[in-house]
Amino acid sequence: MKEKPATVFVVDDDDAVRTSLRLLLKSVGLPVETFASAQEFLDAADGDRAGCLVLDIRMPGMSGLELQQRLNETHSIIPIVFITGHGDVPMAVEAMQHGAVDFIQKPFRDQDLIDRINQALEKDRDNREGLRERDAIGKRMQQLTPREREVLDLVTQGKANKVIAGDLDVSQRTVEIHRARVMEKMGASSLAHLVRMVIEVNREA
Amino acid sequence: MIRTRNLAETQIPPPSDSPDAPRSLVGIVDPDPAIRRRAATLLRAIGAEVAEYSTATEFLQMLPAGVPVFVVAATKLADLSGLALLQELRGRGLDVPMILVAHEPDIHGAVTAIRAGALDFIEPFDLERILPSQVAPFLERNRRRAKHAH
Repeated sequence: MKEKPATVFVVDDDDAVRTSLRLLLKSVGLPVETFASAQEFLDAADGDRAGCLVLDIRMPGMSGLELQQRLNETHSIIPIVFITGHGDVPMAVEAMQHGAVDFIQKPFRDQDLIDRINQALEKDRDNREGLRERDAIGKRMQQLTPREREVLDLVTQGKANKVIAGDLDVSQRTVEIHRARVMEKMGASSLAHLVRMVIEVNREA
Repeated sequence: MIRTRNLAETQIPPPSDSPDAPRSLVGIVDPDPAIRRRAATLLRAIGAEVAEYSTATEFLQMLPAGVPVFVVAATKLADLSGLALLQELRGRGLDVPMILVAHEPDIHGAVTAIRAGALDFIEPFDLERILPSQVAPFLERNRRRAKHAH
């Protein structure tokens, strides 16, 4: 998968802040891209880039919270760290209630910010891995025949082959054959593995 | 009809003796009597039954008598932080929704509280704006549940 390396996207209308953050992040080896406004970031967004967003709250035009809202509307999963010199409690609460990973006030210690950015990047990696897994499992499930799909559902409900045979009105031998095919197509090494996959694919991001 | 009380049944309070009066208990835990009074007034106005406490210990001691539908707690109590109280309830398997009230601005506290699962985090000036609208849905849900239980 040709994915660009995880990048820290900084959105702040203050040139000095963008510059100092760019230097700071480069100094610890993190790829960084900066934007002077929320709109600039949205315009540049090319699909779903890996990384995290470092966002100021108060900006002319679209505010940081408005940008967060926009991103939520498009189901973007990019983790957001808000940094601001103007914060107050209601703003911080709103940011967090709408899914921000963190909200920190200036002045902050450089290491503090780095730590939180790293946490956000890790969250992004976890989210993406979860999505990829769900995607792969979903594709495998689409390979099942309708009957195999039925067997999958009943097996993961914990029903014994004999019971499934009764439910579907087929022989136990037939159930065993379907079951073996399901395990093979899903790439499951055990019933527990199969159950975990079904739970995973039904989970929300 | 007496049901056995199960503290794990969180947002559903224990049944009252009268089937027509489902309990809609909201706990207020705050060292400041003025804040307790303001919160209590707002909550009674939307039909809540209010129990006031000034320390976490008092509140926790009364829990076995009935888990509230909602808790409003100050961030700083004499014996425990509001956050620690939230964590204590969660640790007991009680998912009671909670709003924390900070008597002074505390952004870091707000972030930590929301992350830890608090429904909201406010300063006293926002009691009127936030409390009724945040608590009402839970009272309503409880009334509906109590109705169906009969």
